[in-house]
Amino acid sequence: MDTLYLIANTAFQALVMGFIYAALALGYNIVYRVSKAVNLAEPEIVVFTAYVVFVLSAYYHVPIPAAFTLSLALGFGVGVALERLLARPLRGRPVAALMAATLGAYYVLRGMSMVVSRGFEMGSLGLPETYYSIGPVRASLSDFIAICVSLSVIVGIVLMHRYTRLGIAMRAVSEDAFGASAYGLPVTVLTMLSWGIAGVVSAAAAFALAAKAQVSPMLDFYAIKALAASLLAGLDSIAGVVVGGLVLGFMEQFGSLALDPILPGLGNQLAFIVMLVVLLFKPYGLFGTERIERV
Amino acid sequence: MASKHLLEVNNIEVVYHPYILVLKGISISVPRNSIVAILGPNGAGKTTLLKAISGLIKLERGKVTKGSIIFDGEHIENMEPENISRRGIVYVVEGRRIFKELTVEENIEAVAFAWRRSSRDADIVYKYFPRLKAKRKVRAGYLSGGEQQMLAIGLALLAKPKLLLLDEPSLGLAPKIVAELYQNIRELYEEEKLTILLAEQNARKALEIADYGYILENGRIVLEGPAEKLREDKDVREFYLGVTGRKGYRSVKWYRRKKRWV
Repeated sequence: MDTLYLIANTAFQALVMGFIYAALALGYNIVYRVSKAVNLAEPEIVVFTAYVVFVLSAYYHVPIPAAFTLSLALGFGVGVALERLLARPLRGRPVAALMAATLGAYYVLRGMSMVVSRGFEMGSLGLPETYYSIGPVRASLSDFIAICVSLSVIVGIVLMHRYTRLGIAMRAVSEDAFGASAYGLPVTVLTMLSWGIAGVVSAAAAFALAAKAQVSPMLDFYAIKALAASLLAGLDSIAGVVVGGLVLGFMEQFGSLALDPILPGLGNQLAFIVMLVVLLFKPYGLFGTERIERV
Repeated sequence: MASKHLLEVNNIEVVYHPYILVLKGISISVPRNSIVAILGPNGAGKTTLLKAISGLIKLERGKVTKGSIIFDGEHIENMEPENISRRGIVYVVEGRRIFKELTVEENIEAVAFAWRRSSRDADIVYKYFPRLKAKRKVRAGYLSGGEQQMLAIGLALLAKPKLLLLDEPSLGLAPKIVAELYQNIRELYEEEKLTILLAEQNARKALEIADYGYILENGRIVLEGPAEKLREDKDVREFYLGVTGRKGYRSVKWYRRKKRWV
């Protein structure tokens, strides 16, 4: 009986973390699609926006929904600023230049987080501690908030890309930016908007993460691990992040369960093993675009 | 005052990578509501001429160093490509550049978004290329070559161009498809009151629909005239239309000599 509880609860936690990883991975992928580079500043966008929510609600008594909305707007602003200041001037240069620049932005944002958080005070968002029992699973309100926020972001982005003209135009830019500008698409604006949307997605994922874990400067580690989900899905895939995220979530939770008694802490590092394996054997990921070639 | 000609290219020289002279003093004029064909073999400079007009040579470090390009009474030589396309010159590049991962419908939606066209406006593509309508939901990468070319031209139509530049639309297509494509181009030219500048190697097809033609060789215009005159011209018939008839060895030698033209 104990084993059943253990497995059911681990699976539930894997599900929650899987969706959070998926949302974090989506942030990388949206940027990658338009700029063909991994945005290494994203982990710190996550920390920064999580701290904005925490500080506003804990010290200024702003209601959490309002603080969350503000953090989404800030995420958008940071994304747009990164595009304007880094990606646009470096367009047409080797992508390594842009990735190095985003790594620099990571540290700038880290400084900003430190200022906002008054030297990285840690704490939790203080969501109501309500627990529900569903069969053998014990789930908290935070779990549900995390699932709802990350899932609705993912579904929203997928629907936007599939059905709205804006999303379709973004897909066109992602496939062939030069061709898109030849047909008169506003490539520059669409690229900037994509970075902004990636920032919003990161901020939403940050909130989901903050609901689950303590708000601390170490939240960036989750976003770094989510890069494995992103690679697994394929860096230019959108809906694939759900699979990538869930695989990572389940591997990590069950991996920890099985391996931690033998090698403590290994579960936490499994993401990097996934990254390595994907890069070695399936560099385009599971759902990465394989270009159509008519023979 | 609007001049009779929509586009006037006056004695331009185009240079790539500061040293390579590609066009050596070319002048053409395109009257409103007409089809003008630029003919010539590979490497004659047809594509370069279209890129000079559309401004895209800038992206390849090319430059118009002499002469002028006047569109609708305004100098456009060496202008940014975006500004030129906003003025109404749309360039359908060689090799059917479409969004292969998107469906036909999504290709149209994406470009309609760029020009703020409604779905009703976007139906113009299906009107002239009815073949595409049946393949609305098909990813463009899986279309046949001819259909891809039709889609590329259809997307350009959404911009409501004043001047449409078509680069080698018949490239790599079966003769039957080329015939259908040219039929479509002719129709949309007549009904949409378009002005088209067409670069082609397939001189026979191009001269069927064009009003006027220029023949380009080695970056120079070697011959020009109304399409019907060119169709009748002895040299053109021989070198470009492949109308030769029976010939003895002497006339082949004459061909060799004559082919050098200017």
